[in-house]
Amino acid sequence: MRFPLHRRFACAVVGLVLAAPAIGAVPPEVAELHYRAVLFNFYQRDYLAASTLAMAYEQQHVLGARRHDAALLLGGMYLSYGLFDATEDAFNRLLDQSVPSDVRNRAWYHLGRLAYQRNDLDTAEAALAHMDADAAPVRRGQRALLRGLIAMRRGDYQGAVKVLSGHDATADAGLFARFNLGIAALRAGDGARGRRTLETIGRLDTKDETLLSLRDKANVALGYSALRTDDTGTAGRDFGRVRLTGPFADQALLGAGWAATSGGHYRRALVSWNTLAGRDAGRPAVQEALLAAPYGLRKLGAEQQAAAAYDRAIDAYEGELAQLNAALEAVDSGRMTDALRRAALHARGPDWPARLLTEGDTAGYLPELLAGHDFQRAAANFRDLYALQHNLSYWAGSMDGFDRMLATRKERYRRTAAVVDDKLADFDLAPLLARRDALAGRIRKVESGEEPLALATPEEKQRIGKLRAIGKRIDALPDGPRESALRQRQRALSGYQRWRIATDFHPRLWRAKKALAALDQSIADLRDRHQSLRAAKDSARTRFGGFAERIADARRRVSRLLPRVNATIERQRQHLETLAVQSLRQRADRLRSYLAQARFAQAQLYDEARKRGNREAGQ
Amino acid sequence: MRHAGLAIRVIALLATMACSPLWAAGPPKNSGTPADSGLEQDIQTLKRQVMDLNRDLFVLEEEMLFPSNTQVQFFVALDSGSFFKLDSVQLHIDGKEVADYLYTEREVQALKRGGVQRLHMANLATGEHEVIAHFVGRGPKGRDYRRAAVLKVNKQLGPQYVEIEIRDDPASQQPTFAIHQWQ
Repeated sequence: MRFPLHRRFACAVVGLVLAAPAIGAVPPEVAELHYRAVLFNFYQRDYLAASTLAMAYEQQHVLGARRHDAALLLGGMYLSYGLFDATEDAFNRLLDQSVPSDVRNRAWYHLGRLAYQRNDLDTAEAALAHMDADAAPVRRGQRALLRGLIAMRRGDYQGAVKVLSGHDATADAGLFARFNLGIAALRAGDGARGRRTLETIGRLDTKDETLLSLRDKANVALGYSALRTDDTGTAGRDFGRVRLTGPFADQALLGAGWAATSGGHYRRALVSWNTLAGRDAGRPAVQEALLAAPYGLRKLGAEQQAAAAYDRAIDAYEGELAQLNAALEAVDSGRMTDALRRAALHARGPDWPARLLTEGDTAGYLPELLAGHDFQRAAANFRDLYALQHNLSYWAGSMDGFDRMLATRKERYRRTAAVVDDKLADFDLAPLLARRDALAGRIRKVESGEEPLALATPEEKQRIGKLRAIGKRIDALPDGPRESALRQRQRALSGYQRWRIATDFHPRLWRAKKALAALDQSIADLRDRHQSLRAAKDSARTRFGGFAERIADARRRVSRLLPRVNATIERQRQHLETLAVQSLRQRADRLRSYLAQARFAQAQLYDEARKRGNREAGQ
Repeated sequence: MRHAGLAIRVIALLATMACSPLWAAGPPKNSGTPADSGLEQDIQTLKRQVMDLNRDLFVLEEEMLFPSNTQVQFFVALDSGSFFKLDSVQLHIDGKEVADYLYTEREVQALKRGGVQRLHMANLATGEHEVIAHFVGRGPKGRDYRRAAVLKVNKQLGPQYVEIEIRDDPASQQPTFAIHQWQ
C-alpha cells in the first residue's frame, strides 16, 4: 500500500521546518570540535573573537562535556580583557558541586588569584581554602605559591617561608616559588637561608629565556642583599653571573660598580660604570652610572678625566631633558595618543607594544611609559576601546544586511508557504480513512469465516475463476466417459486450490492484520506531519517576528553603544595623557636632580683645581 | 658627596625591585585598583555589553543564514604537522568550490596547538553530497605537496559537522588526510 501524499508532505516539512537548536546530549566529537574552535582564536590571542565564540556556543548548548573547560577558558579571557566582575561571575558559576572537582578547584584558584590581584587578600585566602586538600599536585603548587604571595603582601615573611617551603620545586613554576621563598627568607631576616635558596636559582644551567631572566633576577637580588651586609666580594661575584644582554644587566652593572667601590677597587668599578654609561641615557641605571663614573675617577685622582666625564654626564642629561620636553610637547599635542591609536589599529595580542616602537617621533619615551603598570593598563584599555569602536562600526554597517537577510527569508517563506497552502488544501484524510475502515471490515469478515476466499491472491482468484468457467463448459457438454473424467479433474483442481487457500488462511490473516497495523501507523505519521507542517508554517511566521525584534534590539544597542565608546575613548585619551605627563615630569625631576649634582660636583672640581693653582702660584 | 647619597637611595630602589616577589607567569598585569576607577568601571561595562552584543548577533546571523535543519559546518584540524606545513585548503561541495583559505603562520601555530578552524558553513539539502578537500603545502623534506581527501556526506535533518583532518603518520613518515562526518 503506497501513500504518495505521505512523501509529498515529508518533503514539504523538510523545506519549511526550522528546527530548534539541538539541546541535550552533544556527541563528544561535536563538543570537541566546538571547544577547539574557541581554542583556535584563543591561541591566536584574539580574545574578543574567542570569547564571542565561547559565549555563543554556550548559548547554543554545543559544548557538551567540554562546557566546564570552555567556562574556565572564558573566565581567563575575561581576566585578560580586564573584565574583573565578569571573571568573578564566570568562575563562580563553576563552584557547583555537580561540576567535576578538578574544574571546581581551578575555579577556586582563579577566584583567589583574582582577589589577590585586586588586593582583597582575605577573599583570596578564603577562596584558596575551598580547594580540596587532595587536589592535583599542580593545583597544590599553584595554591602554595599564591598563599606565599599573599603572606608576602601582608608583610608576613615568616608565614610566606612556611607556606613556600613545602612547595615542590621540580617544575618551572616551582622555581618561581623557590625564588619567592628566597626573597621571603631574606626579608624575614634569615639571610643564610635566603642566600642558599636564591643561589640554587642563580646557578641554574638553562637555555630557556624565561628561566635565564629568573636566574639573572635571583643573582641581582643576591648581589644587593650582599651589598647591604657589606659583603662586597660576594656581591661582585653575584652580579658577575648576570648576563650583560639580559633585562637585569643595567642593575647588575651598577651594583657591580658599587660593590667594587665599597672594596676600594675604583678601577674595577669604572669598567662596570663606563660600560653602563655607554648605553641609552634614558634608562635610570645609565643616568646613575653617568654620575658614578666621574665619582670613581675622582677617587682615583684623575680629576681632568673626571671633569670631562661630568661634561659628558651634563650633556647626556641635557639631551635627555630636551627629549623629555619634546615628549611632553608630543603628549600635549596629542601625538602620543595618535601613535597608540595607530598601533592599536594594526596590532593585536602581545605584539602591539612592539608596534608602538615603530610609530614615529613619539616612540622614544613610550617603552619606559609602557613599563609602568598604570600606563600599560590604560594603554591596553585605550586599544581595546578602539577595537570595540571598530567592532561596533562593523555591526552598524551590517544592520541593513540583517534586514535584507530577513526580507529574503520572508520572501522565500511566502513562496514556499503558498505551495504548502495548496497541498494542505488538497489534503483530505477522509477518503483514506474510509478505505482503511472498509479494509478493516473485510478483515473482520474474513476472520469470522464469512468470506473464505477473501484472502486469495489475485492469481489464485483468477485460477478459481478459470476453473469455474471450465466447469460450466464441461456441464454444457453431453455426458460421456471423457466428459466425466474432465469434470472429475476440474473438481479436483478446484478442491486443491481451495484447500491451499484454506491451509494458508492463518498466516495470510496475520499478514493482512500486520499490513492494517502498518497502514494505521502511516496514517498516524501522516496526521503528525500534517500537524507539524501547519505548526511549522505558523511558527515560521512567529519566528520572523522574533528575528525582526532581535534585529531591532541589536540596532538599538549598537546605536547606544557606539557614542558611549567614542566618548569613553576621549576620556581614556585624557587619562593616558595625564599619566604620561606625570611619569615624564617625575623623570624630568630626577634628571634635573642628577644635572644639579653633576654641575655641583664639576664646580667643586674646578674650585679645588683653582685653589690648588692658587696655592701652587703662591708657593 | 651628594651624589653618593642619591646613589644609595637608587641602590635601595633597585634592590627593592630586584627583591620583589614573582608570579610564576610574570607579575600580575591587572591590579584592579586603577587610578580612575569610574572610568575603568565604565570601560568594563562597555566591553561586556559589546561582547554580549557580539554573541547575540553571531547567533542571530547563524540562525538566519544557516537554519539548523540544513546546516553543515566544516572544520579543519591539524595534528602535529611535522610532515606537512599547511599553506592552504580548498573545499569543494558537489563539484563547486566553496572555500579557498590561505593560512597565516599564527593560524598554523594555533592549529598545531590543538585549535580547530571553522572553515566553512553551508546549507545542504538532505541526501548525499560529495565533499572534496584539497590541501596545499610543504611535505617531508620541504617539497611541494598537494593532496585531496573525499567523502560522501549523508546529510540528514539537524545540524551536521564535517572534520577535515591532517595527521602525521609516523610509520610512513608522511602526512595523511581524512574527512569525518559527525552529527
